Amino acid sequence: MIWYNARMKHVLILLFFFFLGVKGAHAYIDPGTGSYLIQIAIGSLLGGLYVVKKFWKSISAFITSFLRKLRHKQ
Amino acid sequence: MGNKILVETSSFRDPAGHVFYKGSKVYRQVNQQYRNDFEFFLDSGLYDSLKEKRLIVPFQKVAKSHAICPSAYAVLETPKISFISYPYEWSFSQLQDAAETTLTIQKIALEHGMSLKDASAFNIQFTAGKHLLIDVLSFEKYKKETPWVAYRQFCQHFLAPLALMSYRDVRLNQLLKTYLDGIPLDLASSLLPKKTWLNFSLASHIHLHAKTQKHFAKIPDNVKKRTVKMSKHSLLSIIDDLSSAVKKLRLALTTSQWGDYYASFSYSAEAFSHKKRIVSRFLDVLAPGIVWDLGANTGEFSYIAAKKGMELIAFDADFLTVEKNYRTVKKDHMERIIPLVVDFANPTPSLGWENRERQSLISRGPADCALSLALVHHLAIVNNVPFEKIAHFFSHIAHALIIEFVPKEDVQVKKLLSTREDIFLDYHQNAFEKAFSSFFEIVAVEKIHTSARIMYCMKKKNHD
Repeated sequence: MIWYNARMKHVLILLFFFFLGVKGAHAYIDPGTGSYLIQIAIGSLLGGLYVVKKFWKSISAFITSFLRKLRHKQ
Repeated sequence: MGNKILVETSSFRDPAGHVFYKGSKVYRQVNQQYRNDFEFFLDSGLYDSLKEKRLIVPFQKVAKSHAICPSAYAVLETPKISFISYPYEWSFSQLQDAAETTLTIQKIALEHGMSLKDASAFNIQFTAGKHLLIDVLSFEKYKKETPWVAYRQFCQHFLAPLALMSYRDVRLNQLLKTYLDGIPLDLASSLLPKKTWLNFSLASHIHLHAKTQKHFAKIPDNVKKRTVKMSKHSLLSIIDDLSSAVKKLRLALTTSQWGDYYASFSYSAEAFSHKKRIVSRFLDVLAPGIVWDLGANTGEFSYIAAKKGMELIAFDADFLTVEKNYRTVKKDHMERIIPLVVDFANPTPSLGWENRERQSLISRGPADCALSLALVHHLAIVNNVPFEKIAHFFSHIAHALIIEFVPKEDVQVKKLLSTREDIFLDYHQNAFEKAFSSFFEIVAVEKIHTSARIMYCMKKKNHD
């Protein structure tokens, strides 16, 4: 767990500098600074994965159709 | 109640408005400071969309003269919800459905340029077979490129208790009684098994979330001064991931102490069917509107009342039994039944600010009628509660009673006494009748065929 905590600290410091904090919220409930940051981190990761997945799907669709056309010609 | 104005004791945290009651009507005052958001809520079509999908309590604007303070911009009248229940009284699937309802509402809100500004489980109620949002002032205009304000609250109110119920123990939703703003994520993280770190959603929304909260709690000012953006695409990804995390959580239904109660019933099919006929007849005599089934088990007898058009609150102390009942109610569209987890030996207390924010079970009554079937022997023998005290309590929660007396010669009572000394010298029919006669008038008595059990129909004294 010591190894994990040290790692965790690095991850959080990275998050801190990478995302540069949050806008002051005007909500009647406290959104929580940590909650804001982790949300942004997860959101960016998931959003990024979605883009990669979509990009990968379009690439694989292009290759499949290209190979199909090639086979068809042969 | 007359036309006296009563302000809802839980409606004070959000300055956007508050709920109050006048006579039998329910009103919600919208304050000037919420005007822009409220107008956008109506103009954007969000309200119509949610109303059409039966995801929000409907309302109509009434004259501003109904307002109870000068800060009013508008006054809304909403239908009365016959019974308000709380997350610590819900079964696993009820909480799960409430969570999904919240996320569905948030997705629809984002489509209309708005966002939920809170995600409290107390804002969701199960009524007429559907979960719906009862706080119509829960929305604010979506501010471009900002994260979800209510993300922390959603994780604490829904994801954490559901994960604990799924991975640890179904009874852990009782932590919500202590933590009214949801289970603290550091506590949830420490209670969840290590294997949940391998689940991406739980690892991020609970474990890492808890660690980040702890870390940044020490340095909030530095962070708040800075600015960061979160795309709507990222925000939607979060909502989708939360939704899939909630849906994937499962509860293993095993046979509980009570789960197979009907199967191991101490009397014959003939007796069971006769008992059903008696209950049906007594219900016809009393003709109640709202019935509390105090030990509903999987709801067999609640259904008799529901089929007669009565509103049923089906309580049971066993979590898995209530879970089963809820699943059946949902599957069979039994819209008049609300299954809830309540132990009548220790009913829900008043909680929250001034002990008035969340109401006790007693203050949410009395019911027109209470069904107490195969329950009194548990209270009297398992919990050592004398008949007088049971009768006194029942006279506070119901105007009428359909109650079963299970004598000592019954197999179930013998079973309860098999492992302990019989100190219950006053446990007999005469003492039972005497105790209940102090508070109730016995209208009818009928013995169940081929059984020693006796059914009573009673009306509270001095009550029409």
